[in-house]
Amino acid sequence: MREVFLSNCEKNFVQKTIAEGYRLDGRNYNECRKLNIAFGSEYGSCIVSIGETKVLSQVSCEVVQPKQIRPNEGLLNINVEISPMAAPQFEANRQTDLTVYLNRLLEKCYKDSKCIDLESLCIVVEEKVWSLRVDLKILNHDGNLIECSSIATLASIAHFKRPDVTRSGESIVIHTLADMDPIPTVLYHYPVCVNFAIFKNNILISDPSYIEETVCTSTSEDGTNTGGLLVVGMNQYKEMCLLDLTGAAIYNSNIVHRAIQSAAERCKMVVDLVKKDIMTDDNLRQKRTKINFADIITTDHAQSLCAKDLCIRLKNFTINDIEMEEETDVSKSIDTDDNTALSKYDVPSLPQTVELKAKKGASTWIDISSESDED
Amino acid sequence: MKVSVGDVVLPGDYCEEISPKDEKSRVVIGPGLRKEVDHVYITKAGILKKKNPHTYWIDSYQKRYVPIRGENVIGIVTQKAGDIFRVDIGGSTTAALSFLSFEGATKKNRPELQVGDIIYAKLVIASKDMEPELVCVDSFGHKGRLGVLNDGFMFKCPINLVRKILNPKCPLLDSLKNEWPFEMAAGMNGRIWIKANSMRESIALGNAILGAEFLSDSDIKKMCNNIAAILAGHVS
Repeated sequence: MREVFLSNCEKNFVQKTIAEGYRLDGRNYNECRKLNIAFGSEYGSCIVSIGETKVLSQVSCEVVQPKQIRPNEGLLNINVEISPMAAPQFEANRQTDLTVYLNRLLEKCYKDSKCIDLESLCIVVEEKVWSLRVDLKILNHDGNLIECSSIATLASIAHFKRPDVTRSGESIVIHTLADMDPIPTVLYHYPVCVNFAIFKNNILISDPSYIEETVCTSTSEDGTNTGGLLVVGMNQYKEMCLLDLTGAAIYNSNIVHRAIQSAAERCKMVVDLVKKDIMTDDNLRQKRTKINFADIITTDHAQSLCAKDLCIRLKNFTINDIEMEEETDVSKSIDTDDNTALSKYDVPSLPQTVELKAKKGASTWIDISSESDED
Repeated sequence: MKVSVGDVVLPGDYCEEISPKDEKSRVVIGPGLRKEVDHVYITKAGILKKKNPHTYWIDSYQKRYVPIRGENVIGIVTQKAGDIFRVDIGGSTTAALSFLSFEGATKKNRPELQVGDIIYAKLVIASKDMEPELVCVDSFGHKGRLGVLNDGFMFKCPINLVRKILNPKCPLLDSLKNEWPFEMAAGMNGRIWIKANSMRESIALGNAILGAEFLSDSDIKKMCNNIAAILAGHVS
């Protein structure tokens, strides 16, 4: 993996900004980016995007022999791949620390928590069971990969339907999707991993972006590392499935408690969204409408990019204010037609009368009327 | 397919206007164009632009930087090796910056650059066969505006955005320079460094620059007024 270099000024600036209570992209500490789940034409394929981070997930199944120690259970396999499409520093087909980390966390969250009913995947005990395989591909890395991957795994497993199987005596018939309706996977509970960035042992940021993640796990100027990433896995019943910490050790348990409470609310919201989207998708399929990934590419993408996805943004900045201001400007100009002094918010159409002044503190009125007399 | 100046073009198109009028005139072709045997072909998707008298190029959307000689870029110092610094400029390899390429530097008097610092430098060697080389000093030995950039904040943006805001016709910098004092360095490798008195002003400036990517000139002015109004409402 090629190295990514973080400059000192970026580190210092982000840490100062977060210490003062702001975030680079204008969110609050506990605000998350927009979550979007889109399903593909096959059962079990979905693209989940949190802001600009995108993960593609596909579930497939095949009939195999079960493990000897568990002869009546099906198998579940989760595989994460990070391609160079995600970010320039990743190399193709190379296992990095990050890949191993994601794979292990997702295994812990979905296999060890026993959220999927593996016994329902059994066809013939000790001979034939269904083996589910979840393949995740990271399409774009803009921070918070673990949360995006876990939502993608959950959504695709919940969306997936396996072919129906009937037994008649000795023979087993696996029906095609056209023959008999496929059967959805049975999920006992819906766990989701939520990611938090910890700065200076005290500040908890939910849904960190790429630069916030890199800064909080890097060492500061005096060589100490005071930040880390905390991953909390919970289900919609507020039961904790997973807890993982990267980076500096935590000194007080208060942070963990706050993170768990915040994660509980977020998990409930995410699971509700996943269930709602799956139900909408089901209804659309029953009406025989075609569903595919082309729907997530909208025609007004260029405009929507500048409105809400800026990575550096003031808290109250929206693109809609521009149209509103146009209306108020029109009404103002009717009243103050002979007002020659320009207020500091008006941009003179010919900038040659304005000069850059070295100002300290708040802006002052720019006196234009005297200069225009000299013209 | 035959296209003309000002069209949106795709790779493989060719333009008949790009040819010398007589034997003595020269035609300059810029990025995105390539001369094959008979015609000049277009190799990038974008808009075909022309500058009088004979300069043609393609305006395209790009995020990865390809080092080109003579451009000013912002780099991050990644390593000190012997008598050169290794600087990351976002290209396929790191660039080399000799420690003698600073104003007033001698063998005994080394510049004080640490790993992780940001520098504004000029590319003097950039080809696809060799590692690029930078200098922080002009041909007379003066520093000019090159060198180390202290404090502030650096962010990445598409390369065409840097070209857009540096264009003298773009109203972005003119609109912002009256609102609050700031310093800015734009590297042609898609990195912009900004510094203002307070952190909110820096964020507002970054917001204005990134927001101007898809806006027209009049929209840019309105957006700058908007940002200045938001900032003034909160600055104490």
